[in-house]
Amino acid sequence: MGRDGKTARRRDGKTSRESEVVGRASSSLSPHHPMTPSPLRLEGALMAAPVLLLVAIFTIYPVGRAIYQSLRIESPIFPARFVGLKNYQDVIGGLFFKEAAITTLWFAAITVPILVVIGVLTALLLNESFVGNALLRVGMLLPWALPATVAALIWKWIFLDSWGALNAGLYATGLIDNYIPWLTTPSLARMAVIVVFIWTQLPLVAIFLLAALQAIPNELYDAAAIDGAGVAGRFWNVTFPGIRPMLVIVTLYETLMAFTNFDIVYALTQGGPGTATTMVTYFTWVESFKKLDFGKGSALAVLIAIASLALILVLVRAIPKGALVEERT
Amino acid sequence: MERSATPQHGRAAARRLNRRRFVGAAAGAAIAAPALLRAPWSAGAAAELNFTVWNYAVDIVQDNVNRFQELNPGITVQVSDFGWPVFHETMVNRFISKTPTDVSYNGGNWLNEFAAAGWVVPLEDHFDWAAGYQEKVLPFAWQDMTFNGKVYGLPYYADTITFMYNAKVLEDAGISAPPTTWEEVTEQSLQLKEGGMEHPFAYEFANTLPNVSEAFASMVFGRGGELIDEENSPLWTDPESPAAQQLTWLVDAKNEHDILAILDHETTITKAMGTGQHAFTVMYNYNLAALNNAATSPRAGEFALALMPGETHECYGFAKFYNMTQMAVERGPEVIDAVGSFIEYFAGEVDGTYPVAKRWAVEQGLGFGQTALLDDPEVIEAYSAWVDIDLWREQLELARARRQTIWYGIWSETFHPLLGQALAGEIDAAACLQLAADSWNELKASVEG
Repeated sequence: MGRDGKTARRRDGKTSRESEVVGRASSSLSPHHPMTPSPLRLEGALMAAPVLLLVAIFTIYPVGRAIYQSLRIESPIFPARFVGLKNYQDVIGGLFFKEAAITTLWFAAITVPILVVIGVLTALLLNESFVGNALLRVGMLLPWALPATVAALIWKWIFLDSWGALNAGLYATGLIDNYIPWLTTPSLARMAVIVVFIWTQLPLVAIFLLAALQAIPNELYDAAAIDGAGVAGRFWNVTFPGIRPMLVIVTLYETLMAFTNFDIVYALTQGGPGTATTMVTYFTWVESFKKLDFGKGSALAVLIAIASLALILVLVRAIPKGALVEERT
Repeated sequence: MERSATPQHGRAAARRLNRRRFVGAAAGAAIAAPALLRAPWSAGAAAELNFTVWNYAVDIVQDNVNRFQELNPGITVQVSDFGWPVFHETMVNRFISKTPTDVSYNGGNWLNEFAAAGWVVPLEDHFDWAAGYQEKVLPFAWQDMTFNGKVYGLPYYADTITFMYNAKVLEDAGISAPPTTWEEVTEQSLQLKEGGMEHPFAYEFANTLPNVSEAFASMVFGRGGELIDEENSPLWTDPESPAAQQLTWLVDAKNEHDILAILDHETTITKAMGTGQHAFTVMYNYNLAALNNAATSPRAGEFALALMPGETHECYGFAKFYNMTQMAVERGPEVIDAVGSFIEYFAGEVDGTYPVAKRWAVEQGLGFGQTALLDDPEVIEAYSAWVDIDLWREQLELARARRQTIWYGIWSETFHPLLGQALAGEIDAAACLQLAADSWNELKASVEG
C-alpha cells in the first residue's frame, strides 16, 4: 500500500500487490516441469471448457462455415464445387450490390444522427419533472418492445397507398387531393423505412441517455448556475460531458443496427419499389433463400461482418481519448 | 396461425409408428379384413403426416383434414401454414433442414427446382393410379404438374390469370365494351382519368410476390407470345416480341400515362377495387368471386371478366397441387401409402366425385383441374353468381401453361426487382429487358453447363 492509502503502481504497470499475488501464484503453480499441467491449471481449463465449447459451437463454427461456404458454389440446384473468391467477385460486380451498399450507407448516415439528436432531446424532456412523466416513460418504451416486424406491419397499414391511414387522414382533412403512393415511390419508400427505424429505435436511445443524464450529480448544475452558466452553457459544460460516454455507445450500437437492418425492410417494402430500399442484409437474404445461392449469400455475410468490424474499429479509434471512461480523481 | 413441425416431433412420431407397427402386427388379421373393404383412398396402416400449405383459407383446409381423418382413423395430419410470399423460401428451409414434411402444396413455378433438388418425388413412381388421372385433368394443369415426363401431383386447384374490370364504372363513363387490346386498355384508362379516376389500372406487384412473373406471362400470352423458346432461351430480347411489348406497356402505363396503381397483394387489390377508384386489374381468376361477393365486397355485382387483351386472348393456366416429398418416401411404405390416400382424397376421385376440389370451387370460387367438375351443376350454379359462365369457359379453353425451367423461380427473384426498378422509373424498359435476359442466360449456363 502506498502512503496515500492506495496501492502503489510500479513502472511495469503492475501494482506491488498484483506482483505479489502473481509471484505467489507462479511459485505455487509451477512446482514441477513447466510443461507439466498443474492440478489448478487443469481445473481452470475444465471450468472454462463448457463456455469455450459453447463459443466454439455458436460462434467459431458458424463463422468458419460461412467462410468455407463463401468459397464454394453451395446450392441445391447447382453442382457444388470450390470456386475460390469468385463468389465475392460476382456479388460485388453483380446486379443490385452497388445499389444495396449505397442504400445501406445512406440509410445509416441519415438515421443515426437523427436518432442521436432526437434521443438527446427526448431524454432531456423525460429528465424534467412534469405531470405524466412516468406514464410517458413507460409509453414510449412500447415501440421498442414490439418486434421490428410487427412495428413494420403496423406502419405498413399507415403508409399503404390506396387505403392507408395516413392518406385517409390527409385526405379527410383536405391536405391532399389525391392519395400519395408512399410505398411505391422510391424516395417516399426510403423515407418510410427511415421513419419506422427511428420509431423503433428511439426508445432505447432515449432511455440509455436518460440513465446517463440521471447519473450526473445535481451539484454540478448548481455550481454551473452559480458560475453564471445559462441553459446552453450548462448543456455544453455539464450535460454533454456527462452523457458523452453513453452517446458514443449509442452511436456505435445504432450504426450497427442501421447496417444490419433487415426486419423492417422485409415487412414494409420487401426491398422495393425496385431496389430503392434494398440494403445489404436484405440482399444477402434474397441471394441465400430466394435465389438459393448460399455461396454468394455467405460471401455477402462475410463482407457485412468485415465491414461491421472495420466500422467498429474506425469508430472506436475516432472516439476522443477518455470519452468512454469517466475520469474521476 | 403457424404450426410448424419440429425434428423432435418427427422422432416422436417415428417412435409412435414403431409401437403402432407392433400393435398392428399383433392384430394382423383383425385389421387386414376391414382394410380390404375400404375405399381406395382409405389408408391401410397408421401414420402421422406433416402437411404444409400457404395460408389461404386455412380453416377450410383444417376442416378438410378433419374429414379425411374421420374416414382414415389410422392417419393423423398435422397442418403447418405459411405466408404465400414467403412460401418458397420456407419450403427450401424445411427441405434443407429436413424438417418433417410429407406432403405439401407446390406449383409449376417451383416444381422443376424442387424436383431437381430431389426434395419432391413423382407420384407415378409410387402409385399405380397416378398416371391414369391424365385423362381426367385439364391439359394445362397436367403440364404444370409434370417434370421430365412424370407427374408429381394432383390439383389442389387449377386456375387462370385473367383480366377483370368494373362494368359499372365503364358504363358510367360511356364506355360500351371492355378493352380487347392493350392499346384499348390505355385509351379507356386515359378516358377514365380525364373523368377523375386517378389510376384506373390496379396492378398487383411486389418484389417477393411469386405470381408477378406469372401475371406477366398471362398478359404476354394474351398477345399470343411466349417468354422462352424450345431451347429455353429468352424471347424478350427482341423488342418486337410480345413479352418486350408488354413490359414496355407496363412501364409506359406507370411512368408516361400514369394510369397504374401498384398494389402489393390480391387482397389489397380486392379492397382497392371495392373503393371504386380503379376499373381494371389482372389477377388470379378466383379473385373475381371475392370482388362479386356481396358479403365482403361493397361493389359486388359490378365486376366482370373480359378475355385477356391482345391478339389471341390466350391466358396463363396453372395448377397448384399436392406433392409428396422425398422425406415421406424415406419414412417407409406406411407413410407413402398414407400420403397416397391423402392425395387421392384431396384431389382424386372419391365415389365418382371430387369432394375437396369441388368444395373449393363452390365455396371459394377456386378453379379446378378435374374436368368432371366442368359440368357439375353445383359448381356451375356457384360460378354463375360471380362470372359469365360462357365467357369463363371461353377463356379456360384459351388457357395454356408455360414452359418451365429449373431456374425460373430463381430468375424471377431478379426479374421482379428489375421490373420494379423500371416501374419506378429508375431504369428504362430496354435496360430491364436486357438485364433480365443476362440474368436468365447466366442461370441457364450455370445449370446446363
